[in-house]
Amino acid sequence: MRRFCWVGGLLVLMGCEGELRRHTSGPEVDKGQGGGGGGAEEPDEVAPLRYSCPSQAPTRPVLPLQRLTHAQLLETVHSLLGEAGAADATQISAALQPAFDALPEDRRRATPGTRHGGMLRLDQDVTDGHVSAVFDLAIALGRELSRTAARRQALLGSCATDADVANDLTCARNLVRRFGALVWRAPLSDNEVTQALSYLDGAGPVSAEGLADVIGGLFADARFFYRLEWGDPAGSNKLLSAHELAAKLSYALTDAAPDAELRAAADTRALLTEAEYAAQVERLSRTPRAGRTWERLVTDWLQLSEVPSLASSVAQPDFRTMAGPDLPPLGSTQELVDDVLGAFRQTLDRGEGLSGALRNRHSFARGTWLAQVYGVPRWDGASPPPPFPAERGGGLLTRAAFLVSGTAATRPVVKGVRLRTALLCDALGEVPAGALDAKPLMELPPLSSTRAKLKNLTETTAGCSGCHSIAINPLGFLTEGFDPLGRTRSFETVFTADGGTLGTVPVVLPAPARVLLGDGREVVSPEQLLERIDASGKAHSCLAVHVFRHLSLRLEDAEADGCSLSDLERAARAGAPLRDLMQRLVLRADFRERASP
Amino acid sequence: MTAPLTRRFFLRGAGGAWLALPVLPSLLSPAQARAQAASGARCLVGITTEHGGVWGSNMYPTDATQTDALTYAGRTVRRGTLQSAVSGGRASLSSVLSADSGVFSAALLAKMNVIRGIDIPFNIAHHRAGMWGNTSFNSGSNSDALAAQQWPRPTIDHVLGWSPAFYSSAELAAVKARVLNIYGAWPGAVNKADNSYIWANPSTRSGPIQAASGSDNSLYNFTNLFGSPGTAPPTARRSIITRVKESYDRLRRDTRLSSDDRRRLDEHFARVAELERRINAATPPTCGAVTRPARGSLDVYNAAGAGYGSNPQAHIEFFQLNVDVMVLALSCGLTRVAMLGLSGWSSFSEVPGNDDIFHQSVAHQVHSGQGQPAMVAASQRIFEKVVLYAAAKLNGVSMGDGSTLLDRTLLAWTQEAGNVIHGGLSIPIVTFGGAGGSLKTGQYVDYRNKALNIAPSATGELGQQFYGLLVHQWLGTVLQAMGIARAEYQEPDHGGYGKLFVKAGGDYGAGAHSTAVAYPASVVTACSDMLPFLRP
Repeated sequence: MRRFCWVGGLLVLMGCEGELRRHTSGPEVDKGQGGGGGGAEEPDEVAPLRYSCPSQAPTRPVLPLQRLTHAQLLETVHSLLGEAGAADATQISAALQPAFDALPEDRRRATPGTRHGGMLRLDQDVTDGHVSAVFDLAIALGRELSRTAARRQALLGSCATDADVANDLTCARNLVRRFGALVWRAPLSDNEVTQALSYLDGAGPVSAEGLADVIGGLFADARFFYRLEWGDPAGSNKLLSAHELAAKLSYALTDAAPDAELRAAADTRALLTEAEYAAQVERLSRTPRAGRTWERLVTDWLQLSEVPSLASSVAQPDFRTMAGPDLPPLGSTQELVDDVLGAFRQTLDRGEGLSGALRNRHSFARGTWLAQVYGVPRWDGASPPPPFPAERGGGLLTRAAFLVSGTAATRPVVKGVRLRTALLCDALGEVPAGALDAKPLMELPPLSSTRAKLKNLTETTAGCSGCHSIAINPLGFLTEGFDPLGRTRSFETVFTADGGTLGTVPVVLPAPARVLLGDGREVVSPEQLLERIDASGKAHSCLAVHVFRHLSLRLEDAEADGCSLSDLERAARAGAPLRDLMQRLVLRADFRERASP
Repeated sequence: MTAPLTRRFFLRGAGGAWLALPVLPSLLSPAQARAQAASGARCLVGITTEHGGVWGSNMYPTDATQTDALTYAGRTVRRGTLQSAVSGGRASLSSVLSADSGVFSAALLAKMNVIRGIDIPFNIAHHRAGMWGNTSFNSGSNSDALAAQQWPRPTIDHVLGWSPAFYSSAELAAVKARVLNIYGAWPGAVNKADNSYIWANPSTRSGPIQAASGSDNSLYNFTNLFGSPGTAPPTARRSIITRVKESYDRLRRDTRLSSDDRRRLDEHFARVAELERRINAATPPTCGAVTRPARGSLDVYNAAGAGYGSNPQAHIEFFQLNVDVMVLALSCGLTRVAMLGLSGWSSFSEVPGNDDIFHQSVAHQVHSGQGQPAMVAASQRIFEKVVLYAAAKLNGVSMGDGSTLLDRTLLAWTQEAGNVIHGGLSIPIVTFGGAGGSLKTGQYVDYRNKALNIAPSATGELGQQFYGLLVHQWLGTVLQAMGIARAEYQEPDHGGYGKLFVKAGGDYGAGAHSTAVAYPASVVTACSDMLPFLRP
């Protein structure tokens, strides 16, 4: 009788046969030597570099006109509200909330080799929803910013409210020049000012209705929603103008429009000099906004959007029993994500490289629940974060965000797949046909460990065991010393669906992690797994390509982008500070060229 | 002749609320009703649910009810008249297709079809829009699925929405949404939708295919359709949109733009033009006084809090509120195409849909003893509380000539998978309405080639898999029923709708037949036809 591999966990989306491959493009697969079979030679511990800089790289792929992302739209509008100078900006924001809510969320765009997560910045689709929501937001902005005399005065100055009607048109003209340049992120030509004022349509230049339409028109224009790149009129058509460069740089590093200092550097064209540009890169990359941008990158890279929302599981009887006194509250998932982001934030602030984040052994749990899970005091966000207890030694790998399952049992497959595809950038093969229809080879007693059940299901048939036994399961097994909430354990309790318990079974950890596929040596603990991952350089290479995608707003072409990628990869592996990785890419000459010449 | 109705008409909303329709066509004299609804105008409502994997024995009437047979495309196809068993106040065709007999009446049964044996003919696994014409958006779980990603197509809702044969220019003067798409990747999201795909430049039917916009926030949709007190006066918006369009037009003519940038601006310009059309569209006066519902779907979600995932009653209310707005829009002629995608977040089960929990704990276990009952229960709720609920609502709207809005509509519910989880064979289709007489109803039709069993040695449901007719033919049937000529949608090398990618064999597992045997030329040729038994 034909046998299928029966698949549990998330395995349906993963291959359980076929060959493991790297999902970032590049010239060579890693090929660690040796294995657990008793070869005399010690296996390599470092993966080969994935990228190289060809002497003659092909032309870079064209990147057509880029729109602002959802996050960038919100950041931009909020900063412009500040520039409008209204004393009641909070009320304006509140009035605009329905318009903000109607802005379509970006969707993570899948990256090669991953079937979960993806990158938000790569979503550049424009739908009817975008067009109408941005238009409605523009109308609402115009209406709100001009609604009261105080707001008009804040925006235009005293000419808006004085008794002199002769200065009204000049007043409005000045507004368009000043505020329009902020909205469009570039100075307006005389023609453009005239066209913007045509929105008055006979209304008084400083009247509420006239101003509402002029402001609405500025925001509804393509130059607000898109980053237009015409090129530098005083230089090569290939190079960005100073204002275009300011906008590109600012959105890349901070997800926000250029601030006053950057605008000033663009106005004087000083930004086009190497020294000033480097100074602005350094300054911007140290702003709080740049830190938040880093967090978005890490969220996408490590698929933190996939962390289960534990509070939704509390209705399940077995989950409640499992959780006991640590039932996750609303907001617990965000606590988990923030804990990971906190480690990266501290690494960034300390000027450390990726290894610092991987090996960080402090809790950034600000909430009671996660602190209780970790057995540490809550972190207040200002003091030095408390260290983890000694038994939680796996650094990033043993943060609860990488351990929780949302169910009463752990999910080693999910854990393994995430580490393999997200952290290490390895891709998995195809799902064998009929995988989910298959039955396990033999029946195990109900009181069996998750590991035993999973091995029975996935490692006893040739079709499935290829990926599971080599690439997926061991990575998940090595953190089985933590329960589905991320609490340490030596024994696994097996629950019944109705919330009862069947008993406990001992946890077994050792497994051949195969961080490098040819390295079949047994790993005995999460700490040792972390050491292997850090030493291999694979996570560093993986981060490098994610930095590239995040800043370049597109997927890489291993050849055409080989020099950029190689530079990032080598720097990451050499321990360059996280901030430096961002800087390296935006400092390159090709970053300062038009993306679609 | 029917006497003009004078009473106010109400749609009963979810959770006991009543949504007042001050004037629906049923309130009008026949002449008025005919004037409001475009002559012969047909509507499409497409409902899509995730998962699938409901066993045939739980999904369909028994084969014994198939009383007629026909040789077609090299096989015997079968049909029977739908007849429900009524007991204890429940009318039932199957475990899933059962409901309160007061709603699931003989009258509605006569307007229903249950269609079995429509295949996505390759190993697609996960997808959201395959049954509506775009199989390229899939999880890429295998080589066939990856191959299919090369051939994106718009879903047929947008083929209809942008066809001059569907919406006349006169009708567009009142249409607020060519396609009303109700979909949220998570409850209440305003986002790109996975169940509906469109050209980047729909006015020229060109450019990359991308997800269309959508939301399952019922009040958001209501506002887009009917406006809201906070919306700028139409005259002001008209003035601005005209100038915005002029500005875009100036920009796209700028010679400094690269061709790629110009293409993006052209696409945007087309959407601005569509926005201008929508802004200028006049809401029919009879619908101008519609009262904004006091409660929206997002309110349901927020009220349920963390317990939403395991609260099927909340899922029901969430989508019934969306259906209410949808029916209202169709009634008022603000759209004639509505897509309703039930994302996996709302599992219609006590097992939460978020975080893959229902997917893993139920959908992936449907072939064990554990998952099937829960899947059947969830699917039954979807049928009764969303699909049938929508059909009954549409059937309650009189068109003033003795017909109802449902009679002019084709409402079709499809699922992600067939009777085997992840399988593309025999994906169930349940329809209501005859699309203005374009389709015969009241039938259980079965297109499976029962001479070819994909896995004859398997037991249970796995041993009951047969090749059917192609999804392309189903989609062509829908388009023809909506009045679209074949020449407008067919591709040069085959009939029906969509990219022809047929690959049986290996990816279906050992024991499968070759593509040529499973789907011979006669099946491909048949795609140009309307499906047998459905043509009047």
